[in-house]
Amino acid sequence: MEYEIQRYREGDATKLAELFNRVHKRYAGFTPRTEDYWIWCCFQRPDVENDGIIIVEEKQTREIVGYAVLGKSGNVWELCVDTKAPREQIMLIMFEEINGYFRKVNTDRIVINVPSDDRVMQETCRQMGLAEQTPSHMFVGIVDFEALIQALSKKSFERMSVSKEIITVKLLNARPWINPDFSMKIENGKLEILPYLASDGLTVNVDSDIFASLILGKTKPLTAFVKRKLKIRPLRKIFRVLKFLDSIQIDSLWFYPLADFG
Amino acid sequence: MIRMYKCRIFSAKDSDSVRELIKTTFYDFLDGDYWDWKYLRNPYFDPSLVAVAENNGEVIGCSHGIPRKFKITEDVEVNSVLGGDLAVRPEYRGQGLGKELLLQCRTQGTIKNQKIALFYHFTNVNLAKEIHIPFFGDAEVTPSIKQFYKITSWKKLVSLMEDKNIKQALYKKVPSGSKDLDFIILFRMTAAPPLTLRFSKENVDLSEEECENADITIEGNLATFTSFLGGKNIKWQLLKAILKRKLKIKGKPWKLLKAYRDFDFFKTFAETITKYMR
Repeated sequence: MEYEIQRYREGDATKLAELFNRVHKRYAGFTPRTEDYWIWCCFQRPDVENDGIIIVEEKQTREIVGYAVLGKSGNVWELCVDTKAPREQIMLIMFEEINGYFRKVNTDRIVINVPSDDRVMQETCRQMGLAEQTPSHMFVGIVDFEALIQALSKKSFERMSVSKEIITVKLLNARPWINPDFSMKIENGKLEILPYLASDGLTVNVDSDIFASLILGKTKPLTAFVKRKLKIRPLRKIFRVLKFLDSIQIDSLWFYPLADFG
Repeated sequence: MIRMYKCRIFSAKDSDSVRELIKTTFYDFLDGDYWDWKYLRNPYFDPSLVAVAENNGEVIGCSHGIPRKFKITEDVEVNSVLGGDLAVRPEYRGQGLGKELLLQCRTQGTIKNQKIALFYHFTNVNLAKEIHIPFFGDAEVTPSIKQFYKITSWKKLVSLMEDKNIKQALYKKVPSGSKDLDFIILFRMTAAPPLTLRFSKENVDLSEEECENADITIEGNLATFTSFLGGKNIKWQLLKAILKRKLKIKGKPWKLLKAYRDFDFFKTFAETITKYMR
């Protein structure tokens, strides 16, 4: 296959946003791209010139198989190569172009974020003489547990077999902006947040920060229970609760390109 | 202490003051119309998620939030807010104003109305340990990211050191016992060209070259070296890096001893440089 380099043309944004979402489908931790968002985030970014958007196309079909958004600051804001295409070949073509661009704008540094499971991209970076450094630290604060659990139930119920149950969560030491008590009804593989506090069903008492760390996958539900940080009533339903909590844990790989930083 | 300021939601008339505050706080970080692009021209900009603090009608602090969709698993996305630039004028720092601005943003009605599930931000670890984790209950997540870098030229650093004001500011901080500063230090770091640092009593000079008669040579990963700055127990961190062979320090023994004695000055020097390099 033959590929050629193009610069950004009006109308490319939709295809680039689609490619970004497809390539990063298996990751979480970033903003999914829409055309509007991509235009603002990349094309309109003050650090990015028209020349700084490098697109690789398949010569025959004109299909876009990769792109990079380069800033005059030396930041590679986005770098994306189609997983179905010969990535090593495309990456080498792109990096040659990336180096050329950075030489042209006379930047004094190059920074790029690469997914930790993308060996091809990492190897290309090393070949280009780049070294590793610690990425920015990312912090997450949950402000609406109900909304988050409701959203997560979409994925979790495919692998969860809690039949019919009502679970009431009582959060201890919740911040004033967090609703400390709420009930959920699980029925027919669907979860519904109840508008009232249920008096029946089972109850989970847990510190608000511990509950957040359970959802964010930083603490295992069983560990929290063993350490007595999770109190379940009635106790005989412990395995149901642990299974439920396991199912709403966020266990995806989180990756964000530099563009998501700011 | 009597509180002299009040926090409120941003309005369009604050634009000039906030833009100026951001510019002076973050120096030339992504210059140009960065603030206008990031907030005012952002298709998702919501002024109710920007908080400002004012004293006698003057804007003295601000914090920003940007509403965004956020992917939390392969196929689930939620409404979220990205915590943006937080800035407080130097004379008002250390009074809890930053915390109050962040709180203002997090307790807005918009959060409930738009069913915002989470806040996320990229914050300095020390600040997060001081404010975000204890006060807001935020947790650090470990992303699956490897960040790569390469320094292609030290020209920005070299030109910074040609600035008389920076030199003066730096030499004001020389401890009284360190008046006989006289060092040539060579940095030979990975993914970066060699850098020679010449200190004398009156002057400090940087050049992008490999000096053959350096008193001290520091070799290793630049990221390891810079990661100490701004942290605590720098001496211990440095020793750990040397023992783990992440950094190598070679040199004339008496110069190394002298450098150890003047360690605080070098630390201040590195921190000053880092501050201007952002």
